[in-house]
Amino acid sequence: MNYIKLRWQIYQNELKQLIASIGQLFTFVTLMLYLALPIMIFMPLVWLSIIADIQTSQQDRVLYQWSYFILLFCLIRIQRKAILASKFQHFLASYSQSTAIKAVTTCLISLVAGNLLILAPMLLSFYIPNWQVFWQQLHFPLFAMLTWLIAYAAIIHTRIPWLSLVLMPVGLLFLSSHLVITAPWLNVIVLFVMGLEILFQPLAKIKPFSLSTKHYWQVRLVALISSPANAIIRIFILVVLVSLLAYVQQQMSQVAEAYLQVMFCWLLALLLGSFQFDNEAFYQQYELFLASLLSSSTIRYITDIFPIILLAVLVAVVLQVKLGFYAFCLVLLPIGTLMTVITTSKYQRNFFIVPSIFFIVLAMLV
Amino acid sequence: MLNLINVTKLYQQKVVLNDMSFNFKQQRYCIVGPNGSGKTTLLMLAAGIEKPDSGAVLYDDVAVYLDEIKKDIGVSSDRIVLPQFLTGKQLLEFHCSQHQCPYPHEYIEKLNFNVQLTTLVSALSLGNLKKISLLLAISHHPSYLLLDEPTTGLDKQSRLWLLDFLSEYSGQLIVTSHEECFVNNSDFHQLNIVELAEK
Repeated sequence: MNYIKLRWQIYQNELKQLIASIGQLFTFVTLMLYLALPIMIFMPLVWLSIIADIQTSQQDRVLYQWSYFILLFCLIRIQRKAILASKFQHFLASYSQSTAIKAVTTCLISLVAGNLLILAPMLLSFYIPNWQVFWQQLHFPLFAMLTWLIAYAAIIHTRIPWLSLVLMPVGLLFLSSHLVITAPWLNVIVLFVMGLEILFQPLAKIKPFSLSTKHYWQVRLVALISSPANAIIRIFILVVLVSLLAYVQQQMSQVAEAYLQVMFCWLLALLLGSFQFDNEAFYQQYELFLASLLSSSTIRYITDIFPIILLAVLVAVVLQVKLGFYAFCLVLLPIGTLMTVITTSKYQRNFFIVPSIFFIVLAMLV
Repeated sequence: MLNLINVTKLYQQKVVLNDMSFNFKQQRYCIVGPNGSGKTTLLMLAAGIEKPDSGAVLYDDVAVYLDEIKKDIGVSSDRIVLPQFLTGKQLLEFHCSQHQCPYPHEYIEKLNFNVQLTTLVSALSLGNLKKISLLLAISHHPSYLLLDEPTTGLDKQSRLWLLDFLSEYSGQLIVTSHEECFVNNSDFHQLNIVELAEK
């Protein structure tokens, strides 16, 4: 077996373990979004057509382009340890292997890990027929280069490139009415900023403020900050779902029917309630440490579910104020979320059954 | 004093401790026994961290699970997985806040742990993990100290300090160890867990 084959096997094995560890989320996604799944998978490819169109407005470009970047970053980041074979780095380092082979192997595995999200822009760039069109569509090859850079940033650094991935699009959205930048220049600027951020990591130079850990909730906050992947994925899905609904409602110029609102709350309650899986994993991992604490487990449980319910209330307010949902959603979503949280603790993988029955009955009554 | 009354503990349907009863009347005990005989499990039960499947664990006739007793217990064991995402300093701050005790500057100094305070628990070496575990056990000056293999992995200086500290410790001390310093120490009452189980 050669080096590349070994790295490939390690990648496959690590990926299997990763999928098993987020199995509940997968079960949830496949169960709840069975019909929408193919659409969701190919949605980024639809975004590509909007990104490729030079006529796309600056605001839309920022939205779609950065949604694509964040999705790609998350996809690569969650596979980072598998791509780099981090667990076996000392074992692999004990063999004399050329740096070039190592780099090529990492590159090939990253391509597989990023698959369509990296390959599609690259292939579409090659499809450009001549230089004249190439110059006219320069923004797109630049975009393809950016996807490579993002994949590289997701692998090479442990820190998230907040500046180019989060702060920059927010700034551009706020300034979009005052500052008009053409698509190629926009991508040149992003390429420049991202390149600088990867090279110099300016935010890493800011001394991190040390969070106090006197109380249990502060310990949980530090835990969340240290491994935010699961929370980010759920919040990302949440934002995509709400954005999709907002888009559909805007296109159809009408607010969803009451029963559809209930069904949407059902979907969101299951998604929000599934945050409890992370809490349960925490309880399991640190079972003995938690048992040694003086605080009661009930108080800790309430402390842990409070942010989930708070998030449900916030989402419900957004649904009611921004998307015109009925007032009953303000109560329905938090209750549904609480129900999901409790059933997650009690029934684990079968967490969705009781809340689903509740919401289906409610939808029939409305 | 610690008192085990008809304690039975199962792990995945396998009996680890079977109907064990023992009243720990002496001040210092060293529990010995072959690997896998249930020494660490006994400490976990004594610390109130794990619950027996049947029987009771009492300190001065009070159940170990009550806060009034729990705050008086200090426990160190490799089986207790410490939060990997915290630094040693953050972990100690949390512990001191929970037990409302002063930050253990002196113990940190004696165990030569100052440099490691800002290191994440996940990045600590085995010896340093043992140190932070010991610091958590002794920081709040408990009346009952339960230590699982306390000297394993410690450097010479820290090991000497710990043995000195334990020799002056005034509460009830129960250690599990195979080390000469405990096994052949007349201050410690030797207790073979296999014989204890057969009583």
